[in-house]
Amino acid sequence: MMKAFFPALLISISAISCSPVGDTISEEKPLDKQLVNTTENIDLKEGDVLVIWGKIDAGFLENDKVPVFQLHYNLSLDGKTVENQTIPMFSDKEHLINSSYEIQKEEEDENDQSEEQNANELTENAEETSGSPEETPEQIVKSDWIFEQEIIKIPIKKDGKYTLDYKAGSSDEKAESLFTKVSVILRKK
Amino acid sequence: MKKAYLLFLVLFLMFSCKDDNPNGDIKESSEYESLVLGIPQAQIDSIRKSEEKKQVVLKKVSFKIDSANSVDLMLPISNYAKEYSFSGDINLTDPNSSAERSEDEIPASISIKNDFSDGDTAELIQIGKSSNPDIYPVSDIKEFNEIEKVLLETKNALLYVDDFGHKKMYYRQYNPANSSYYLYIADVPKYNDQKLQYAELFSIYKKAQNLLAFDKENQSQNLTWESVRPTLSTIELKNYEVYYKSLEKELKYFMKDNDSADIKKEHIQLYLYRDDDHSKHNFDQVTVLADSQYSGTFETMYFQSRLYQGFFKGIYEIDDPFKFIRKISDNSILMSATRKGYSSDDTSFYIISSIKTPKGRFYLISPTTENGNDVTALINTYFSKHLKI
Repeated sequence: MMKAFFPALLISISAISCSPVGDTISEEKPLDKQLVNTTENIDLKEGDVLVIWGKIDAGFLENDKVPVFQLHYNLSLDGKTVENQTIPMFSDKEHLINSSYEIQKEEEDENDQSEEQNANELTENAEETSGSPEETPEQIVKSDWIFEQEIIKIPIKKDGKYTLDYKAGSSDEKAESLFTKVSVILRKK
Repeated sequence: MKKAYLLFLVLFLMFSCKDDNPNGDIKESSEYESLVLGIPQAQIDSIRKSEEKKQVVLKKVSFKIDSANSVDLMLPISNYAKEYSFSGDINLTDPNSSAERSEDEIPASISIKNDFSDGDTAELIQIGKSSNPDIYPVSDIKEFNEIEKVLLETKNALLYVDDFGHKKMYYRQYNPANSSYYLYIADVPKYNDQKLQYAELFSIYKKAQNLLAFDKENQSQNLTWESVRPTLSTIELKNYEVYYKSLEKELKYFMKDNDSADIKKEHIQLYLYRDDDHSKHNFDQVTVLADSQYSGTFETMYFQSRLYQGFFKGIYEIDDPFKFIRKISDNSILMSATRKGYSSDDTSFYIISSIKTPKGRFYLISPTTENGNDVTALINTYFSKHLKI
């Protein structure tokens, strides 16, 4: 038992350190929609690439329509803005990681198709999946979906301790849902 | 496998050691004590001293207990009293006793909150009538509650850490003039930072001590943010800082055209927006409203403005009265808005501040009190005057 454990530990450590998504600089931080969110003291060197990841945890999605958010961010060094942009989050479903998807079971299904739907149910925890799960046309399928997606890569040209200020907004009604949680994860390559 | 046995052996030894010692010994050991306290006693003492040294700015609050009775309390300027109908987290009587209290023995409960309180249960005041000036003594509280460590005990006060690590306070006062007792019961929220928890505990203790200090009312006309700031609790200061820092960053980094930002909580709202038209024409509606002593409706404002569309639309009809009350500073004015009702009109007050920056013309609006001197108004005045970007 113990013998098997150590190699497993070693493998997982090395797996984390040479992870294709890079090292995590700041853990998942839920976005406060009313406030500008700030991560300070991001230690970066020339040649590093700061990668902003978005994570969405959405419940009761209809036909997998994930609300699109606009991420406004400002990266600054010693109070001076290095980069300031507004970019969409979750506008496509490419290159998702840590995705977990589940179709909601309907308690009473009038069309007698619940069994078929349930058979479709899947849970993934894959490194990279592309494309959204299959859509069922002309019928509302409700699902819960959690995934992370790369939002932008920012190449760093100067050593220093950076500050990232960011906020996210959405014009989609679904974005206001209590079942939609958005957070930001910072990674470095 | 050997390692596993070793582990078992170590664990066994640890547990058996514990068994050898009677529980009391462990409790008395300094190691156990520091575990319960979370931070060293010396640090707690210095937090207590710095909270004790803080000045207070108090206001008198009259609170209606029921249709016939109201009670006067002295609260810090940043606090509110709110109706609350349950008892607190400290047992006043034996929880195992089945003796029921008669109806007139049940005290009235009031929840004390600030702009950032989460829920209504952290601070409660129970007020009731009794001919017994020693009712609910500290000794009862010690007997009927799980107390892990007493931090401070006097004839009328008990500050302690309970068996779940919660910092709690009990403070009793009795006023023979109206045969009333006042019990202040606090259960400090479990902030991540132990120092914050202690700062909050001692800040509440000070608040409780001043609850009936009617001779200490401040003249509220001359209040400024500079004078009120040092009197606020650490947690309030931290939170205000987060909100206004966020507004500063909105303005500095993100707001363009006619963008707006809205920070809205139960007791505080900060609405900041940029007026593109006013930016381009260097127009300042705060000065215009003040100079003209404006009194009309939202509709009859004779200049282009996003005031109604941006902020007031959700609350008022366009033909509701909107009136200038007074100038608070060069950049800030107090306005009133009135919602026409069938039986009575409902008037509320707002502070509007103008902020001119190289990024354009911004306005900050917050609901405030009739006198325009609650903490939000004081900070808005300061913020709009001193912001540098």
